[in-house]
Amino acid sequence: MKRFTLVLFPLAAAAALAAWYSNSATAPAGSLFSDGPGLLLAFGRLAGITGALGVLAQLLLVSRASWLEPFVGLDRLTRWHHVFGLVVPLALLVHPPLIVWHHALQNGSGFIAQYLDVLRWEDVLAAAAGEALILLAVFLSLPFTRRRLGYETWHTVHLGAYIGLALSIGHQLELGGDINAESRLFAGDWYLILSFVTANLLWFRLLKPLWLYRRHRFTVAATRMETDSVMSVQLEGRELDNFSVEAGQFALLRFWAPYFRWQAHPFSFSREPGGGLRFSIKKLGDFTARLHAGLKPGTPVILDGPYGVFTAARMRRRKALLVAGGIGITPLRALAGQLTAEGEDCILVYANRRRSDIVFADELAALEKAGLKVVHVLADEPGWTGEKGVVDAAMLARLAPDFAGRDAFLCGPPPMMAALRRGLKAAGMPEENIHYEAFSL
Amino acid sequence: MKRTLIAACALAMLAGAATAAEKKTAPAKPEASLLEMLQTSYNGETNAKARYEAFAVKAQQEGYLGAASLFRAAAMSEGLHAAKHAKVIESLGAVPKADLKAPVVKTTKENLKEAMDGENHEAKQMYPAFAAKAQAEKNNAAMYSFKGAMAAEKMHAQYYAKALKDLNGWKAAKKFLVCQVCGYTTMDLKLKVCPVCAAPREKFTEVQ
Repeated sequence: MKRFTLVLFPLAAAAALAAWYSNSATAPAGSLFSDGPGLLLAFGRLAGITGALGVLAQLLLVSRASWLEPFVGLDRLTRWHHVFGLVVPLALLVHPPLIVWHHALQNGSGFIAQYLDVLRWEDVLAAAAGEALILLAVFLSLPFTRRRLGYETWHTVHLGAYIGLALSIGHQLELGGDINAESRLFAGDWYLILSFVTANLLWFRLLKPLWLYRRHRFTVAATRMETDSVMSVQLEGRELDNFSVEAGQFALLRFWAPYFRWQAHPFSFSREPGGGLRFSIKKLGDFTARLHAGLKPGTPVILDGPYGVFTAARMRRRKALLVAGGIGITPLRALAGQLTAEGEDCILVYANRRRSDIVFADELAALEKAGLKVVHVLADEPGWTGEKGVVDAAMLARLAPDFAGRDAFLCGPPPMMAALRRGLKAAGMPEENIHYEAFSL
Repeated sequence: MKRTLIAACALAMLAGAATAAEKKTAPAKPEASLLEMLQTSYNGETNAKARYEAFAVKAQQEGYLGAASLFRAAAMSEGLHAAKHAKVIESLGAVPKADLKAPVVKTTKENLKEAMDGENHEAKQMYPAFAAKAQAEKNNAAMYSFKGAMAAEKMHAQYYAKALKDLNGWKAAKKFLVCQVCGYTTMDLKLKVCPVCAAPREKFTEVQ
C-alpha cells in the first residue's frame, strides 16, 4: 500500500503532463508546437502546470506522511524541500509572461496592455496574489534573507505559501477546464492531485498530532539541567506502551503554553526505548532560551512523531561507530543505550569544547561500564589529557582501526558532519555505511 | 461564401483537367498571395454572415428554434472572422473588399446542408492551406486569423451535421457561446477558457 501511495503523485503528475502534451499537439486550431506564438502558449501552460505541481510536491515533501518519511527521513525530505524551493519558483516566474506574450502576439496588442487585461480575467488576480505570496516565502528562505529574519517572522511568511496556493486553486481548476474542455480527464486528474495533497497535509500535519495527543495526553513530567546550557524534558502520558519509538528518532514538539504553542520544533529522543520519553534541549535561540526559563511541569505537549531513519534498523554491519558533536549527542545517547543493551560492539566519539559541555556524563560513564567504549574529545579544555582538537577521519581511524567495517552514525554541526563524511569516504568507508542526520530542520 | 468557394474550386479542378496538356507548355499559374487569400476569406466570411442571418430567420419561421440559434451564433462568428481578416488586410496597407451577394434561402434542411458543406471545405481545405501560407510568411496576425476561423468552422460543421441528423430535435431553443476573440462556437455552456485562443469565459457571448 505504501509503495502504491509512493507512486501515486508521480503517476498523476505524469498524466497531467501527458494531457498537456496531447492537448498542445491536437489543439483545435492545430498543434501549438507548429509555430512560435503557439510554442509560447504551450510552454507557458507547461510552466504553469509544472510550477503548480512543484508547489504541491514541495508540500508533500514536508507533509510528514508516514508512507514517504520512513524511506528517506524527514531531515532529507526537508533538505530536498530547500533545494527544490529554489527551482520551482522559476517555473512560476516564467508562466505569466509566456502566456501574456502569446496573447499579445495573437491580439496584436502591447505586452503591458495585455498583461493588465489578463489580470482582469476571472481568478487571475487572485492567482497572481497567491504567486506573490509563494515567491515571497521563497525569497525570505534564501540564505542571505533568512539570516536577517527571526524564526517567527520567517515561519509566518512561510505559512503564507498555503494561502498563496489556496488563492491559485480557482485559476488551476479553470486551467483544467481549458486544457481538456471535452473529456475532463485533465480536470479529473488535477482534482485527484489536489485532493491527495490536501488530505495528506490535513491528516499528517494537523489531525494526526491531535489524535496522538487525545490518545496519549503527553505532558511535561519534569525538567532537569544536564549542563549550563542543556535541559532535559521528561514527558509522561497514558498508554505509552502503545507509542513506539526507535532509538535515534525525533519528534516535533509543540508545548501548549503561552508563546510556545505557536511553534513546533524538532527534538531527538535522548533515551533508548523503554527509558521514557526524554528530550534534551540546548539553549540556542529565543525559543529554547524561553523554554529553559519558563517550561513548567504539567504543560501539555502536542507530539508529532516519531520521525527519522537515523536508527539501528539501517545498520549493515554488527559494529557501530557513533560520532557526536555538542548537542548532536542526543540521538546518539539513545542509540548507544540501545546498542550497548543489545551487546553490540559500539564506540562513541563525543566532541565538545570543554569538559563542562559534556551532556549525560554520568549516563555515559554507566554505559561504559556496561561495554560501550566512550572517547571524549575536547577542543579547548586546559589540562585535558585525553583526545584533543577536532574530530576528523584520521582521528577516527586511530581510535577505531576497524572503522571501515563499522556503521558510522554522525550527528553534530553541519561543517563537522560534512568533513567527516568526506574523510570517511576517502578513507574507504562505503557511503551506505555512513548514517547522518541534519542538526535541525 | 461557401457556395462561391466550392464552385470556384470545382471549376479550377475541371479547368485543370481539361487543360492538362496545355499546362505542360504554359507557365504555371502563380500561387495566390497572402493578401489575396485574406481578401478571399474576408469576402467569404462577409457573405456567410449575411447568408446565415437570412437562414436564421427562415429557421425561426419554420419553428426550428435551435437551428435558428445555431445560424445566429455562426453568423456572429463569421462576422468576427471577417473583422479579424479585415484588420490584417489593413495592416498590409490594403482595403478589405467583399462582393456581397443576396442570400438564396431554401428550406432549413437544405440551408443546413449547404452551410455544412461550405464549413467543411473551409475547415479542411481552404483555411489549413491559408494558415500554412501565413506561417511560411511569418505573419502571425494572418495565421491566427485563419487558424481561429478554421477551428470555428469545424465546430459549425459539426453542429450543422448534428442538426441535420435530428432536425426535429432542433425545434427546441438552444444556447451557444461565441468567443469574441476568435469566433469559436460551442454548446458547452460550462466552458471556462476558449480552447482555440485561450480567452477567458467573460470574452464569450451567449446566443439563444
